[in-house]
Amino acid sequence: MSRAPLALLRRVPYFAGLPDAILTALSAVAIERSYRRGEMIFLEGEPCAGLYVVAAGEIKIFKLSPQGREQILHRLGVGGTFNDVAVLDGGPNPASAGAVSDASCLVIVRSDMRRLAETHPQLAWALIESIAHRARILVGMVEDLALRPVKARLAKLLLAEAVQAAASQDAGDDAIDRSQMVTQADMAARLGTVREMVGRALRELSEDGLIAMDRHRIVIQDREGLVAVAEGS
Amino acid sequence: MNPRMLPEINEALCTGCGECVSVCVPHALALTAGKAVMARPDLCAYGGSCEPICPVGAIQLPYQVLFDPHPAVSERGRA
Ligand code: SF4
Repeated sequence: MSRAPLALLRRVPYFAGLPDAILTALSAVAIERSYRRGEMIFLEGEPCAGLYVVAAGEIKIFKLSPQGREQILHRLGVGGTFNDVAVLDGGPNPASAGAVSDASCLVIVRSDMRRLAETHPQLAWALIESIAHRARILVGMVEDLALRPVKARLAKLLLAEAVQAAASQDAGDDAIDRSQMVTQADMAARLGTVREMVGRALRELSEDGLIAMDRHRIVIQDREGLVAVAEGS
Repeated sequence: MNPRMLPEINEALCTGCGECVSVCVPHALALTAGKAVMARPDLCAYGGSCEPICPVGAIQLPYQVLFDPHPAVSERGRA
């Protein structure tokens, strides 16, 4: 039905470099469980069910919205792991898991994982690395989320500046007036953020083709697009 | 027509660490008497790498924000 546990564990990225002796110890404590297509594996918020490694089939990790709508976070195939965080901190399952197809998983419960990590420092280190890797991904996600409102407010500011510049140009004033120019620090102060965020937001707006940085000019190339960003859509 | 815009260096803030000079690709910046100066304004490409590297925010690039005066032909409007 499923692959030999040792070969399977070696497919888990953070177990891959471990010596056979440790993988054998892990597979000795791993419990194999089978699920039918559509069956629930565990529910979010329930006590930690252990570390799961997909041995066969496909698994989905999901959350339910307050309206009861299922939001799939990821789908996992053979060699994929889930509940990695809960097995280490002993907290509740952070999301629900269900079988998309007939599937089976190897489950390593927290107490076994802990005992093995205590006797095999290499395993402990592998787990630390996996958590550090995850933390790095999360930091990137948090930064993206933090940038979104800055981008919207910056878009609004740029539109307002351009409207003002257009007005003074219509008044026949063609020369550039330093008092009508803004630095990234000015923009940051006006938006209540730091210059780094303004720099990143400008870069993203220009990557999206909404503005173009042309020497000392920030040229709004897609006014409607920028309005959409300003309105948070 | 317009005078060439250049990064502004706040001499009072500048500590003369030289970070901006080392990242300035066209070598427009230099250190003189312990301060960053725009030694070759003709070379400055307004690339902006000096601004984020400065640990004290002494060098800044002012921008003029404007609507595209020559919008792409595909855009509607403009009789
Ligand atoms: S990086 Fe800033 S403090 Fe250092 S020399 Fe340049 S302007 Fe001065």
